Formats: sequence, structure tokens, C-alpha cells
Amino acid sequence: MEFERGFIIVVCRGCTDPACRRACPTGALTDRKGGGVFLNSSKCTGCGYCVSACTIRAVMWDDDSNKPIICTHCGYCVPYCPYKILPMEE
Amino acid sequence: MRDVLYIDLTKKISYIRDRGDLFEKWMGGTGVAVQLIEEELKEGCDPLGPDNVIVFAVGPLNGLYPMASKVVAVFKSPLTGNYGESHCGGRTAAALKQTGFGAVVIKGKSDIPVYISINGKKCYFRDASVIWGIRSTATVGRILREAEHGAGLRSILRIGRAGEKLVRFACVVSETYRHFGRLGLGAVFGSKNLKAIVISGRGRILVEDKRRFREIYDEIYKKAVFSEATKKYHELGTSANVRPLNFINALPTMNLKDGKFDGAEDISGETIALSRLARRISCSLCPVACIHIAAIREPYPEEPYFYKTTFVHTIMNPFMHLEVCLESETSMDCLAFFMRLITLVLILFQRVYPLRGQLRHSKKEF
Repeated sequence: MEFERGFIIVVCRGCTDPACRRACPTGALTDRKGGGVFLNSSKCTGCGYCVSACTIRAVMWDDDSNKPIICTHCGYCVPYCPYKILPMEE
Repeated sequence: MRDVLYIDLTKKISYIRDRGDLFEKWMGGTGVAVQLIEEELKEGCDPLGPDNVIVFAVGPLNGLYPMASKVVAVFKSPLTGNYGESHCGGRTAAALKQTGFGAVVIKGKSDIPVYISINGKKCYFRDASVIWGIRSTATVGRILREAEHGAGLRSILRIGRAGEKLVRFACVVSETYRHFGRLGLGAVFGSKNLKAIVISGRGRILVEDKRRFREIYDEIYKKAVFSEATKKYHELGTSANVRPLNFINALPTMNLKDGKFDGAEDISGETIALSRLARRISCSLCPVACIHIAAIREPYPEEPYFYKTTFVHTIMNPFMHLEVCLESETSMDCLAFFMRLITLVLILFQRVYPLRGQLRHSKKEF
């Protein structure tokens, strides 16, 4: 993340056995078909274990709601990458 | 974006005021910054004295739309003694917007070197005596990156030794390759014993009409990425102008003594892009990517196949090759600190150029 060495982008890899789900003590994160997780905000207590569980730091944090930001792989970011670094794959 | 953060370096205190009155009337950015400076600045004050005031401000588009990536700084210029306004890209605008502040006002003068860390709504004063006097602003940035939290979204503004020594046209460097270049903001920082400002925020920027927001976003995005209007800046950067300007005798050469430069071909954007270009970088939220970074490989004289690689910002320097710029440590400093003030750099080069043979391996400094 520094200017001299170039940037990195961090995207959720959609694990099939997600470390963030395993770290969630309240069951707010559930497996998604095809990989990745769903967040049930009402069950989330904002402990932040999911953030530290993700080795690549793909679980972001929303300070205002005190809840994680979970990538749903909707693909909205894909057309905004001018260099096609972010492709949409099944 | 109604809150204004006031920082008093003399007393080492900071406070927040709701200035919705200003933001409603003057929108933000330069409009609000000018009002704040008018309130705070004493008439006839010394630009390098404790009474000078620096105002940073962001506008309503920053952090939301593509290409709205500039932050404005308003101050009394030590170069002209008059109104000073300088703009800078990088991440500063986005980071400041995420703190929730619409503007930051910096007053007074610290007794010891300090840097300020603005983290969300909190403002910390930190001792900067250890990092005062470090040769390269890139090193200062690297040290602060490790010392402060919030990597990725934050912005680090810092001055180099030119600012510390109150050179009246010194820049403030943001994110290594972007600068508050105009009118000597670096010297104002130096006069306040202010080495750096780290800005990090993680606040949300809420949008009222999401659908309309996306439509406008897409419209600007398409113009920024696919239209001819920005193509020049993306492909070659401003040095695309070297050839055409030289052709019409309008290339400022030798401190504007001449409008034509014989070596223009060697320093044209095309030549640099073919032979030296290492990468292009963007400011936060801008897809244009107009920052062109050149890589210079300098062989070590004593050892074969061993190189020192330096990354420099390719600038429109109508005087000499990039390698020549790096031949002496002196010009390297000039490049790092004053690259946006081309005519003034030229004055320095004019003095150094005849001596460049002797300076080549010396450590002599300006």
C-alpha cells in the first residue's frame, strides 16, 4: 500500500471453509453456496474476530455501524477497473 | 462536512466547531477556506511568523465522484507576501473527507518540531524532533507509515529540508509524488515547526439519492476513462506538451530566456515513456492515472552489473536529461522538493550545470 512499490487490491477470495465464519461466535456469518459468507447483521455483536481471522484482511470494518463489511461478490466493482484486474468468475 | 478542526500549535490544543453557516453559504473547498482565513488571519502578519494561518478544505464532491481528488490549502504566501492558494492530489482529500471535517485551520507556532496526527475526530500532537532534518521526504513518509495507524486510506503530508530551512518556494509533499507546489506552503510549515500531518478517517459519506449518484458517477467515470479529454494525461502526462510547445517556440527554456530547446526531443513525453517509464499512478478516486514515474538505473562506478534504481516523477524539465538531473545530489534535492516550480529549478540548474562534472561524485549540498 505504498506509492514506491505500487498498490495492492484486497478482494474476498470466497473461501469454501471460511476462517471468518469459523471465528464468529454468534453465528452471524453463514456459508454461502459456492464460497464466501453472508452476514446476518442482527446477530452480529461487533466483536471483530472475523476481521482478525482473515489472513488477507478482506473483511473490512464499518466504524459507524460497528459491524464488518462483507463482500457479497455482487460484481459491482468489476466494470470500474480500467485494467480488467478484477474479473467476474463463477 | 460542517465541522471545522482548529489546531493551535502554540498551545498544543485542538477544538472542533460547527461551521454549518460557512458550508451552507460557500459550499466548501476554496470558498470556505477563504472565509476562514479572513476570520483568522491578522492584517499585515509575517508569512513566516506565528500569526500566519493555514487552512485545508475539501468540497462536496471530494470522496464521492471520480476525479474530485484535490484538497485546497490557503495561507499567506512567503513567496509573494500575498494570498496563497495551492492544490494537491494524492489521498489527502479523500482522507480528510472521511474524518468528517470540512476544513482544518492551523494556527500558531510550536516551540519544538512536531507532527500532527488527525485520526477520525481526534487530533494528536507528536514530537517530530527525531525526523527533523532527514534528507528525503520519502524516508519521512516511510517512518510515519510505520509509526501511525490506518494504512491504505490515510494521507501523509510532510515537508523536506527546504521547508525546514524556510526556502520561500518550498513544497509540502503528499504521498511521495504529489505536492502542494505553489507559493511556499512548505516554508509556512517549517516556520511553525510543523514537520508533517497524518490524516486518517474511516467515516461514511452518505448519499441521499443512490440511483442518481450512480448515474452521475458513471457519466463522469466514462468521460475520465474513455474520452479524448483525458487521454493525453493518462498516456504521457503533461510532458506530452513538450514537442508541440517547442514546435511553436513556447517551451520555457533557461528561465524563460528562450522558447525553444534543442534537446526537446530527448526530454519529450514520448521519449521518456518509451525508455524510462516505470509505472503510472492515480490519486484516490481518480481513474485517469496521470502520475508518471520514471526509473533511473545508475551503475555503481566500482562494480560491474550493479545498479542503484531511483524512481523519479517525470516532469516537464526543458533543460536536460533525467540522468543529468540525478548526477549531483543537489539536483536530486531540487527534484524532490521543487519539482513543481520549474522556472526556479532552472535558475538553480543554471548555476549547477557548468559545475556538474565536478559535482558528479561529490556529496556537496546546497
